Amino acid sequence: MHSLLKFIQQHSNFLIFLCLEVVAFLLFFFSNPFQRSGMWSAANSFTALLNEGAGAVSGYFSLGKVNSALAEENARLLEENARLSGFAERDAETDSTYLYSHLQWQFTPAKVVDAETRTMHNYLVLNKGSRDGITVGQGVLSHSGAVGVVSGVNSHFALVTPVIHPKMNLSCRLAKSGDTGFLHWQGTSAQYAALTDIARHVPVAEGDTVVTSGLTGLFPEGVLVGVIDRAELKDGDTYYTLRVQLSAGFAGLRYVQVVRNPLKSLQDSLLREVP
Amino acid sequence: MNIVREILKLVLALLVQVLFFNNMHFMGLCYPFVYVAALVCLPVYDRRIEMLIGFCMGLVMDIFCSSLGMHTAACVLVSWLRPILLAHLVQDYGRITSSVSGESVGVSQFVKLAVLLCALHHAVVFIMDAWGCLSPLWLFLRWLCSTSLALLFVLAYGLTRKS
Repeated sequence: MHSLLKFIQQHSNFLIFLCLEVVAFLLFFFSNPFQRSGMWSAANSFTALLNEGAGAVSGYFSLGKVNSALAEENARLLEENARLSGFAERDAETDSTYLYSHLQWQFTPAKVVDAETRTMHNYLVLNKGSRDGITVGQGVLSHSGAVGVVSGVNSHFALVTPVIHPKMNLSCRLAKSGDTGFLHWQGTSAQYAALTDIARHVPVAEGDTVVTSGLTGLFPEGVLVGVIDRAELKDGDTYYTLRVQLSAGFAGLRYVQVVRNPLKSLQDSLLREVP
Repeated sequence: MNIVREILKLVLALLVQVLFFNNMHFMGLCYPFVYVAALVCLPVYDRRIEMLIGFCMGLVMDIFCSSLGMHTAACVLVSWLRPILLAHLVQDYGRITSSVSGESVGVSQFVKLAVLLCALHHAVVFIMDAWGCLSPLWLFLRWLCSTSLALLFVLAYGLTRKS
């Protein structure tokens, strides 16, 4: 007993060091993904306040860029609106399903209040939550392309798992040939991701655009995801090795749209009903 | 009064890190953690107190970065190692009562100390961050770039200040 006490006394510094490190590693390995992915700091009012304050200041520096992007977006939407209203008038009489498929998507604008895009556990936090109708599983777009999927909400904030997250798997389609594949992020640069499952018989060239497939009901079909930046096909490979340059600039992202698909639950319930 | 000043310095270092350097993007490689400067230049206290300060710094960083445990582990390691390294580098380490800086411990000793502690801190954070999806080359580049940049600031801070 005496020698044990003596040992503790002699090595007290090291033992305290060990205790603190054990606490740190417990935090690291036993924190759940929800805490680790930003919801914790978003829900914590002090850090949220600081982050939002910093965002308010840094927001001024990119106002010019944001302005021109919004103006561009506006013009595009006006054009599309004009085109679609023409369609709707004509088709409402003849083909009600066409109109219905365009009413399927509803958009909620939101602002990015906190973002981590540089680590392996990237996330975005939006300033809209469940009281604005955001629920888990909705897609998120920016004016330049697909951003991610809502993975957590509370009353005022939503947590988004971006395309640049190792667990993210986005169903995509080559705009030219229409072949579908999956987009994975490989954990290196926030600008690039890999597109898999494109078979070798498909003609693929660098510069081809990759869009969402619309298959899972997360995003409308044809939302820009990125551009093929490098296409490789080794002898004996069944599938291409494709690198996609992502179009949504994650680092400077400020304004996004959350996509709501009221028909998604119907689509999913059909899958469950039919064995 | 002195203690209040030291605490203010630590808070300032955290604010600079969280508000400015955490938003720095440089080719996806450079993520310098310059707040280490505050830990490297901390005055010499009781070792247990230094470790507690390190623990608290790391925890606050983790809360802001939503990276529970990473910065805490790195900071505790740094503040545990610092007195050991100082004892090896400086002959009469017991006489230092003010902040550790180029002036108080000698320039070459301070540079050695800063390089070792910075490199170690960044290594711990990056390895823990890449846990599970390790790509060694990228990890090494990221570590090298970030450490070098952070070191510039740590050295500029530690070598210019008067104790």
